[in-house]
Amino acid sequence: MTRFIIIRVLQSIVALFGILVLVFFLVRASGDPMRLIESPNMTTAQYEAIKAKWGLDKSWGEQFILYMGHLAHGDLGKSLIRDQPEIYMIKLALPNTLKLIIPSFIVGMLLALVLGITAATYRDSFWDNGVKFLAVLGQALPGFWVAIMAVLIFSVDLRWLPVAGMTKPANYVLPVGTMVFFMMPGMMRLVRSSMLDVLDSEYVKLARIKGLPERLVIWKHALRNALISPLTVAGMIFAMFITGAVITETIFNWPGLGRLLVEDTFSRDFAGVQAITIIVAIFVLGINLLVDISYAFIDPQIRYQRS
Amino acid sequence: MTSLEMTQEDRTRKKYLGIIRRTRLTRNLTLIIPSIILALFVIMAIFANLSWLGLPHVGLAPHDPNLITMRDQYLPPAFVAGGKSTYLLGTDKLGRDILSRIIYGSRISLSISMLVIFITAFIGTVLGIIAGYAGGGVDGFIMRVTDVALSFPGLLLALLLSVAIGPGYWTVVFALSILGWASYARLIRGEAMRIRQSDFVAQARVSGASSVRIMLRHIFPNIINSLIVLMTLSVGMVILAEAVLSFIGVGVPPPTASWGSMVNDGRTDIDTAWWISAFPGICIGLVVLSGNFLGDWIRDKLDPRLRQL
Amino acid sequence: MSEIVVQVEDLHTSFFTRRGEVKAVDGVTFFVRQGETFGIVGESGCGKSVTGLSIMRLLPEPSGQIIAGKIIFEGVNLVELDRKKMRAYRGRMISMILQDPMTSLNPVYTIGDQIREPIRLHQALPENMIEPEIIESLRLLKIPTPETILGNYPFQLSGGMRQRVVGAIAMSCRPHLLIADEPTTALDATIQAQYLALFKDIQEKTNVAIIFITHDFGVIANMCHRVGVMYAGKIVETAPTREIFKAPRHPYTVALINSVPTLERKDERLFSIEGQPPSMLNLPPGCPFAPRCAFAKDTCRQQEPPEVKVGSDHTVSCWRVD
Repeated sequence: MTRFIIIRVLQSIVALFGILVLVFFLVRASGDPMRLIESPNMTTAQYEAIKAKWGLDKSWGEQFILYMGHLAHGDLGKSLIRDQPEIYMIKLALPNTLKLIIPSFIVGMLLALVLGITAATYRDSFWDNGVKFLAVLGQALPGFWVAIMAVLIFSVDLRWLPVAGMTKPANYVLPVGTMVFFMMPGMMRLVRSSMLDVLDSEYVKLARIKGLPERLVIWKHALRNALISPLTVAGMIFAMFITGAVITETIFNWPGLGRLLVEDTFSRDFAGVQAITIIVAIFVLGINLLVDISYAFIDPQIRYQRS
Repeated sequence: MTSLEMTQEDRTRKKYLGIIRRTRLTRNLTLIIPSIILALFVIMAIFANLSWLGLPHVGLAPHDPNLITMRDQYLPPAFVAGGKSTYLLGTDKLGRDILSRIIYGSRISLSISMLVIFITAFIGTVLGIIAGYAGGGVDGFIMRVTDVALSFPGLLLALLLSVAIGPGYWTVVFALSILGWASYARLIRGEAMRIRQSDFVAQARVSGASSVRIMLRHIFPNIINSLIVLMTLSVGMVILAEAVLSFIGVGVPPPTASWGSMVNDGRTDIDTAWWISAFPGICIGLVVLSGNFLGDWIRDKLDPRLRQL
Repeated sequence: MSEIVVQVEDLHTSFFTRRGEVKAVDGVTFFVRQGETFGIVGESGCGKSVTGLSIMRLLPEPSGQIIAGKIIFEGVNLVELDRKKMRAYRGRMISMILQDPMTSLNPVYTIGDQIREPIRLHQALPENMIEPEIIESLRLLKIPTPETILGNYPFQLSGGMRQRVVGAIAMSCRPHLLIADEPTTALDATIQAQYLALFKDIQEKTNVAIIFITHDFGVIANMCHRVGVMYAGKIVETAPTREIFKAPRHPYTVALINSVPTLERKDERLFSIEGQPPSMLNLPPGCPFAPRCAFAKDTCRQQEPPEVKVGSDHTVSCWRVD
């Protein structure tokens, strides 16, 4: 297993490197990046300073080395619009995003698991059909639209929930609800179909042959195997999470990384966009690595030998 | 057997045959209704105006979608008090007709998704077949790239691209395609690996066929079913993705009407003019829903093993 | 004569599918005594596995249903029991071995865990008595040094070992009836023989009644005391093994036995039965074998043949039995 983990870590580092290269080239490939950085308020001195710092008058090779050097020092550049270092901006925004993501993840995962498993266990029942209906709607209706409609109904018409703010728990209901709406239906569907597959397997039949109570059959035998499959797409789900966070923060004016990213995009603050992309990339790869490693703990075949 | 036992048996039979009959009916409906809805939207897109026939002012759309008429702004739909019959679904804050914008918006959504689906299907299939057939290091490499592409949030990349090369129709296509091929690659690779084990492939190799020939003539025809299923299911996903992009503001730039940007336009006025966001959103939902149902039906017909998609 | 452990009377089991009702078991009757092995033999798809699953009441729901008949196990009609009561029988009084050892064991739990489960559930033993009981079950299946494999996972064992573990799980609570659904089909020929000898030994020790489902006549000859030949959901002939081989009466049985190549008849062509088994969706009236039968007459195609006794323990369902 240690061998497995080491390989995965190495692969993640390579992937990170690849992404950094990609981001680097994407930004520079479309022409002179100074064009993007220019702003009318800049003095010639500032212009030249930035140009020198990022080495934009040098060859791409040298630029890249400078770029990597800066990154290694944790310097993600300076936001051009706000005149603040990017790291500072990110440090401000990140906790807010986490305040949104973590509850959404917990609620979403729990719901997906409970609904998916019960739907598969009581196949074709009223409950199952309800779950299937929810999954279909959840995957078809655009999340941003549902969020807006929810604001219309719950904040404007019914006045049950506030529209903006971050202080009261009630403030969290709609944003977390929106996030859950983004990722829960897909996950739920996956849990359900994985569970259905496992329930059809021979070893579940054997568990029943042993005369085990249905409760044990489901929770002990079926579940552990059923969870393996959805875990493989956990990476994809996390990507959907990030997309969801950007949209949710935009709709509810939530001061997190997502909103920051969108603002930077529209103000053409390419240092900001680049910095956030890098941070997110690190997160994404980190989460994927964690998922891979936990995979090794669940599936004994990986634990004892290279599968 | 006594007559009493006979009736019990028949009763059980009747009960379960009834269940079967009902499932069959719903199954047929899931083909017919989505197909009709999708066909309607396609007709909407094609016949929005007949400029491709040389008649730019003839078509389904009652108004010019970009025509600004400030005195007609914020009109509610015709069936609500205060609405005018000329603007069936109302107008937005610039007095533009919502219905016409929806009709033209279908052009954007459908054309972008067609393009993206074909591009991503092509790239993904090629990579998937190569990975599945070659195995080993090639497979490992392609799969790692695919994993990263799958787990990277596309919205982020789209924003980055928007800053880097500027927003536009082709930026959207590029942004959606650059990561979209990954799900095809993963699926097709699995299928290719499975087919590689079969006897007829072994036969072809024994008789000296080149790898390229085997991939084209043996592997590809056998993955077409899965490919079609994924392509149909992708319609919904790509349309949603495009809607998200235009909602955020990095889609096709204004004034072109796109359903996603229309929902965004109505966001600030949601309390007074709900129709500006509501109707485009319903359209997105309808098209995606139809695409998903149709895709499910095709999958059940062609290859139920792909249920996890 | 020992007691009858299970008596199946006119069992009808159908699957309700998208395309209609599939009559997998269409009127099957047989019995098995203590300490006796009853073989059910027939082609793939004839309904033999479904018969086994019906006795266990483990048909895939909701498509599979027992729609008529009785299964009387030690005086109780299993068909009439509710789920909870039926569960009490499973693992303890009636047990089953499945065909593929690769998939019947749960991949994420150790061997020890998987055998411990039924023992802990069905036998009221104090904790310290459970481990020895597990080892005893493994010893019954002649697994060498059983203590060493307790911590292993299924993928670490060979196919033959795995099938023995499955057998150990099945026998762990000393059931009165064991249903073996093609347990040797997935094993190598050499291992097959060992496995069969093993079960004969177990039967002698525990007096368990065995229903052995297979398509292989060689296994029948080796293992079973009595045989039921199944075709298209019906048992067409029942007899002691020796008699089935010496004097088969049903045309299908005759054809089956003739199609097993033996060392003596080297020069003859391989014999096979013409045609295909009928579709279980739309069974034609009359005897199901009629379309392929060399002796079929008009009555055969119109009416189902009755069961006729042709010997002390020998019944045939055929119009042309004389």
